[in-house]
Amino acid sequence: MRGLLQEVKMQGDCILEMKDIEKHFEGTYALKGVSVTLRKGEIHALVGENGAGKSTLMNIVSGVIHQDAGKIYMAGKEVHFTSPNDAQMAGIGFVHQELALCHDLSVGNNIFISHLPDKRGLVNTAALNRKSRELIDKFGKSGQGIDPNAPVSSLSVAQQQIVEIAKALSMDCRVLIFDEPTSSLNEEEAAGLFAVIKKLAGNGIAIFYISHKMDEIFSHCDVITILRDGRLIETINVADTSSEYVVTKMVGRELGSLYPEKSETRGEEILRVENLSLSPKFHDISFSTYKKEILGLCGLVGAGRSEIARAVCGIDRIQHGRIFLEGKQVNARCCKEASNAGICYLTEDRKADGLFLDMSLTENIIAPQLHSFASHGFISKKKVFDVLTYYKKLMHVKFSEPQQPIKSLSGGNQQKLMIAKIIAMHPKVVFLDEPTRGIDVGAKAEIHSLLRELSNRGISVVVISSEMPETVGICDRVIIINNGTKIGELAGKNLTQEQIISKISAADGVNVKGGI
Amino acid sequence: MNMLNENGLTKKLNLQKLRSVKELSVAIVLCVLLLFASLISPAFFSGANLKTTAVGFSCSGIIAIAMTLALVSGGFDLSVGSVLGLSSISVVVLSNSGVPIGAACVFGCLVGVLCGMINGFLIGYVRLNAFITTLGMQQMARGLVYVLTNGGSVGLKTKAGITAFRFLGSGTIRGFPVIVIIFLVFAVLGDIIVRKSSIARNVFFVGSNEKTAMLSGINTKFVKMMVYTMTGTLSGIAGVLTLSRFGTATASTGSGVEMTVISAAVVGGVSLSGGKGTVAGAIIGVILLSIITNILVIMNVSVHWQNFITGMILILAIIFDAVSNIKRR
Repeated sequence: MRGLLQEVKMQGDCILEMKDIEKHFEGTYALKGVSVTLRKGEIHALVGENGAGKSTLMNIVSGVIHQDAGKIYMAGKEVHFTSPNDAQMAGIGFVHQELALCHDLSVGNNIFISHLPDKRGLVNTAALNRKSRELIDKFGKSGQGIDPNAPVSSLSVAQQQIVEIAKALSMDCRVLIFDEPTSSLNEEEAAGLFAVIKKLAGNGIAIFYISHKMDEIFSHCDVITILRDGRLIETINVADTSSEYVVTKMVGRELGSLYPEKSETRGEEILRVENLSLSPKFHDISFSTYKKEILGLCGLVGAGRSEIARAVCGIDRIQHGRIFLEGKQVNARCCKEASNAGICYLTEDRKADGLFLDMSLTENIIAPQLHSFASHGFISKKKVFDVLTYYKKLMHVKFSEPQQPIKSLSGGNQQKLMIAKIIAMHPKVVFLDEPTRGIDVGAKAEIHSLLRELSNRGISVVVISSEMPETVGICDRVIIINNGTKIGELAGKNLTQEQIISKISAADGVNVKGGI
Repeated sequence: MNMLNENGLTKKLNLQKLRSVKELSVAIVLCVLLLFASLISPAFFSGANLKTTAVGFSCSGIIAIAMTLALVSGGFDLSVGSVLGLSSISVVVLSNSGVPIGAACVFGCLVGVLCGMINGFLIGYVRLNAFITTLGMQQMARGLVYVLTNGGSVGLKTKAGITAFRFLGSGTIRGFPVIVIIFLVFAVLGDIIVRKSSIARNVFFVGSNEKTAMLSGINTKFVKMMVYTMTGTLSGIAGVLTLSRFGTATASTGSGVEMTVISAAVVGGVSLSGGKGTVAGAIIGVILLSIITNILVIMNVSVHWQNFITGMILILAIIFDAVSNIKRR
């Protein structure tokens, strides 16, 4: 294997070295044995799928969380960061993805948030504005029009990013971490940002660059470190590799027996969607779902997958198009009507939208259709108990008592109960948005076989997953969505990660994201 | 706003205007009210009336300084009124049992410091909810006040030093009430500290975006602790001054002050969601509300209607705040 750490071209002095970093959350490893070296003036890309451990690693380096094992060296000396402040003092700046600024306060205040220029206990506003001006001027054209005195809320996103970088520079940082900095910038703004990053690197600052966008990485970075499932896969010079190779390494994991067997024959059509449009989210989407077939909606994050599912399930109103369920047209004006007809949606965010976390699991299951558990206006304990026992068996949910609050269950069990809640509504079609997000491998496998079982029982299952191996492993057929339009369909032997990526990059030209 | 204008002066003026637009509008409302008051009754601008009104709002004005900080930090303190009462009655009890009045006053202030620190510790370090924590403290402090006053009122017994002590709250210097002078000193210092000091700036950061503040290395727990210690301390001081003014502490001393002060601060442009506000604004709010009450008294409006009108003004102020927020987006 090429590109071992030792073989990486020496570009300068080593500024930051992470050795055998290990971190686990609730028993599962987020990082194991990860070692990365960052050199002076280097732009070092960090890539990996969602959940590969990039953020965890960067949070450790910036002192937000602490590693369970492993050491961090800066310029050869071991450092221990117990707080973000420690890391900043040591010269590590972090430009967060969701820009971390105080919107009510002025640009100057935000830049010097942790070390305001001070004269006898009072903030020296003149010095604050002067120093901020100096920092902003370093950005050349991109910094023009940013008034140190103006509140941050009056700036554009690109300008806010400049403020965020200036904030890191004000600490005299030697390492600067960028977490997907271009995700909310247009091309021109992104070009401006890269000019800034190049300049910083030219001044000897070492840069960590987290991104899903291969074209950015290949045109601006020097070295790539690939993480997968919390492990270091490879550190390699950009000049010595290709984006295909990196993508393969990022996603390449053994699929095989991890997933339940695929369906051999598909049954009759259940749902047919014709020319569905909701501008600007998606346009002219048509597809059908069948009995005994798991369908996947696949595409980049933000391509419109969830939006399509939400529209079909009556949560968002559509502008054009028709939806047929078992041949009959459905005109659902709200999700209640859609679920009554038999089209149900499982939200991607179980904590925020899916569950009443403080209430018992019983209450959670009966919530969507209280009336069917009630007799004369009171909830019938017996009916509830029967249903609960049935689904407990079906779902293999482990819980000690039905009155247990749902937040005391593991993420996997919570997710299963979410599915139980949907199944209790006797749906004909279910749309599951990220059904295995944030749960461990074992529970994932159980949910996969559960989905297959539901499909075999005659419920038409549609899955949206940002994990490509999962999409490929569990679905019988996949519809690929890009920028709100359907760009292709894959099934059978053609259904591979490589095929999906090539279809998307062909349509999109540039952005190949790992977290598909 | 002309941002590209290199002329520093115009730029500064424009921004200044932008920042204090809310205080300005409240101040204008205040002036209109004053005009209205002088029209309906010549008694309003009499020295005696103005003096009584100013003495009346001095103590809540002092608390409003700290409440501004609490609101800016994204929280609030419901216990200020009860802590004020507890501080008052502690001084009475100690002084009457033979402790020198000076020492008793220090103790009264310390009662405030302690209550504030407990609130601050629970909210900052134990991460309890500010509403419930300070509500609990309000009940506890008020309970102690009832125990110590036995539900009635207790007066300061005359002894050495009492006259000097009473001078603070009821004396005048060249016709100017001492308590108002004390209030003005606090107000000016408070406004400067909150607007300009680095310590107070941290409170703005925490209130504007707590996570950012934390990630930027600010000790958010300590900042919260400090804020509530400040509200407690100023409530304790206000308690001592209230006692000095009346010479007695009753079971209801200070009750309702928290609502007056929070309303006043909100009327004066302090944001309930944190990150925005000035002491000057809060104090203009305090003055505004007490002048409205004063006008109602002059107009012989029943006390019961006064509550109604104060509440209405509060809601109008919040509507104004919400509407201006929508416009900005």
